[in-house]
Amino acid sequence: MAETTLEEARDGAVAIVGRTPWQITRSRLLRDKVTLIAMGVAILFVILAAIAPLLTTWKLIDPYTSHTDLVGGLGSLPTGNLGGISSTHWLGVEPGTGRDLFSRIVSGLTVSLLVSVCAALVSVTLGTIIGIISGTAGGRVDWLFSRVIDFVLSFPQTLMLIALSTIVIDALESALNVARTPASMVFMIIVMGFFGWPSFARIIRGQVLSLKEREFVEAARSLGAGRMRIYFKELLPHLWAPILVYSTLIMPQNIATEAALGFLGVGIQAPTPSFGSILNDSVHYAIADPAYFIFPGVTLFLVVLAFNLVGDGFRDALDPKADRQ
Amino acid sequence: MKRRTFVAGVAGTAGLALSAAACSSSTTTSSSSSSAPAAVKGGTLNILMSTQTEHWDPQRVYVGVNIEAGNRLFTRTLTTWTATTSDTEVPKLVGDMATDTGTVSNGGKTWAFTLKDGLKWQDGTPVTADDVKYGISRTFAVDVITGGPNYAIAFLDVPSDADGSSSYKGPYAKTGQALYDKAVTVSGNTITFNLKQVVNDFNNTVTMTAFAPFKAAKDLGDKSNYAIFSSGPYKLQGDWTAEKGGTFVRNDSWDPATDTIRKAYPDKIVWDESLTPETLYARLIADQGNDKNAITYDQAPTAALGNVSSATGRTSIVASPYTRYLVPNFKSKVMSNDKARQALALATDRSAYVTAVGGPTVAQPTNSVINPALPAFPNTPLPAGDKGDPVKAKQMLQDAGFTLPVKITVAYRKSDTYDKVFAGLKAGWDAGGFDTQLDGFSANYYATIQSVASASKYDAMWAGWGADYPSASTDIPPLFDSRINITSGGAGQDYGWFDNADFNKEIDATVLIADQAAREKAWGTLDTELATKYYAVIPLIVDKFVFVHGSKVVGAFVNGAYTGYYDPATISVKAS
Repeated sequence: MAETTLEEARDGAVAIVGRTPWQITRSRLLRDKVTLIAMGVAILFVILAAIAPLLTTWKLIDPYTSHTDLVGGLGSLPTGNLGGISSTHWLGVEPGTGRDLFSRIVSGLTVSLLVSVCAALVSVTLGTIIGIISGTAGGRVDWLFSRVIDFVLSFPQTLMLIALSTIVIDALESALNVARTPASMVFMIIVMGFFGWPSFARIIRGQVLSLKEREFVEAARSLGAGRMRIYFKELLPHLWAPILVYSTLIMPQNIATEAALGFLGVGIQAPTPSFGSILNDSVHYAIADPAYFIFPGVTLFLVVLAFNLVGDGFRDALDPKADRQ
Repeated sequence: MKRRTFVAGVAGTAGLALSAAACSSSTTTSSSSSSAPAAVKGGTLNILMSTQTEHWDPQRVYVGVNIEAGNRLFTRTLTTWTATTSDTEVPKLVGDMATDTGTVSNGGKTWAFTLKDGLKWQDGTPVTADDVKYGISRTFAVDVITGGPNYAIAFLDVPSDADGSSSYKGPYAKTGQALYDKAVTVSGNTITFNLKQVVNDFNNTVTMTAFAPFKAAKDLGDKSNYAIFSSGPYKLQGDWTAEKGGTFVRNDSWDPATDTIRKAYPDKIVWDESLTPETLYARLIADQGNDKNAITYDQAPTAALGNVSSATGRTSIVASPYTRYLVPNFKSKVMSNDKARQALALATDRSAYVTAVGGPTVAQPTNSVINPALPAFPNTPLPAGDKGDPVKAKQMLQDAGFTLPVKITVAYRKSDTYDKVFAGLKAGWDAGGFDTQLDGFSANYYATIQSVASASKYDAMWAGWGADYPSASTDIPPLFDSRINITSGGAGQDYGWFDNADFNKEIDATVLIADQAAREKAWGTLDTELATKYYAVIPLIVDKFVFVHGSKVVGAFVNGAYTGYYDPATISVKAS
């Protein structure tokens, strides 16, 4: 379908076509080159992360096999330039073991993105439900939820994560009867998810406060619609825009948090590669083997930047009143 | 009897490396160019540290760094090891406060030492044999004087209570004082020790600062921990601040005529333990300003090894007294099988270990628990070369009737470097028919692996050990004699619950051998049996210590058989 431009409309050559909000959003998005590029990069990373376990099974990437012949000298640094870059090891190898750095970054991407997406899902689901209930119910329920939100927001998240990690991961390990890696992944998801919802619940609550006074809600209520119907059939469809924007914006935040915690020695640990555990090791090599430090660092930077730009782009496109110029 | 000294502190993320190792040949790469210039008196020596000193109280010191520095600076002992003038020279036992290396009688059960004249505390009062007796008695106050070695309790002829603890409760409680007074007698300048067993190398044991004198009037119990009261060439100026350090100045009461070991060249020694390993090595390599007069007792982190080579002529790569090894757990279902232990040993890829800790320059594969620096080193051949033989291991497991892969869980002390070490070892074991689960943790590592709970959790455990003095009697019995280790509370240092009556009998026979050379050789034979007959241990590597010192430091030599650290007795700083 051709796009209707103002000129065409003025000429009367084409009749004025009514457009749904989604069509408007899409056309806005398509005009935003930066967001499109960022989206392309983000999708590439997501695809890479999704197929990494398959690639490992098919032996196309190999994050675990040591190549001790590729490292040498005092300190076992990679032989060759730029951290041992070669046709088989695109980003070089890890000092000390000679494990392929590209494979480790891609596998780390899987772990980091999986944890971040799950945590984002947890916070968005919690935030939406609590925001809607708090906004529509009003009165004492609203007061109670608002105080809970204040309470959670005032918690020092990073400190909590570090303090709780050993105890909770041990407990999860025995409770779920799983190894340390899945246990720490569940821990990260629960904690990042739990600390992510309050700010989002506030946004939703604000939206609901204005939405619930609108005619269609009044109409539904006067027709005898139940509470659940009002929550999920009447209000929720109007909240997709903030949910989408918030989900894309909380993603890079979660990825960065996971990396930061891994760096501090909390959360996902070796031998499972994740951005945090790779950076934690590589930072010591910043002088001796800069490539080992730079490649994972740049990748993390690109992932976070791409998701941030996509989130910003969505916000601009979905909110007609937004004016960032 | 323990000393898992190494890197008592260096924090988890710090790439704590533990890089070090020994090899008999010590083909040492020590490039200390500093042997030529003559030592000069004066100047300030800076000691840069990232490891915090837990104790300076002589009876509580058990960490190699503090044994070395404490003994050379302010805690003199009855006997001690000579300072060496090269990294490869083997130190000799000599009298320090004692006139000689002691007189043995009663078939090795009685030892006497006579103090030299002119020994003084820093306040000018004489050091007496009673001070020595009092110092050693403090070890018995196990509720106050914690952290130190318990050789005094193990060897002195003081009876034990029903629960196994000594009937003498130390100089504070004074319970059982008469028993102690009977075991340790003083007559004039001579102190005599009556032992409950034959200890033919007791004169080696008393080199430890736990056998140093302590002036009773200055004893504040736990508060004495950092209250250094010197009998050596240096005394503390002001106070020691934990996690910061302190400054040592000359002790005028120390008479050089009584001391053949300590040259005491620098006027002042500043100990700064507030640094991180990264900044510490960055500073030493940069060699600027006061850092030119600096040494460190912290090993270079693995990640910094690549930069160390730029510190030409200021790097010491020397044998460490430590051996890293793996013990199969005899209480595990899999590892109680001879063949499983043998297969694990066969599949062990020591070359991956060596690479991960920094390459062959800083580590060397071994199949002996006894360090190559010791005369007892048996140099047991590796079961299947550096890389191991996973194919043979797999076959062995199959022949023994195991369903492959055999699931095992291995515990190790976590660090960035050791994550890589065990990733490499796991690859070898997995190729050898095992399915290895790794459990790395750093908090309370040794306390955890010796607990009863770990006996049912792990199939094998990593550990490290260094002899307390150059005798394998501080290697084999402390690690593998079930009678002194295994209790209802845990495995002691016998982490693998190895409990073999035949082997214990061999230990008893070895202790009684009077001739030192023959005795050490017998310890070596026992070591070989552990690795190749009982498969009770899988020795992995001996590592080397890598240190860098400032360009104006002269005479920075390492006493490999003593502690493996720079010996302050001979260090001096060039005048600028």
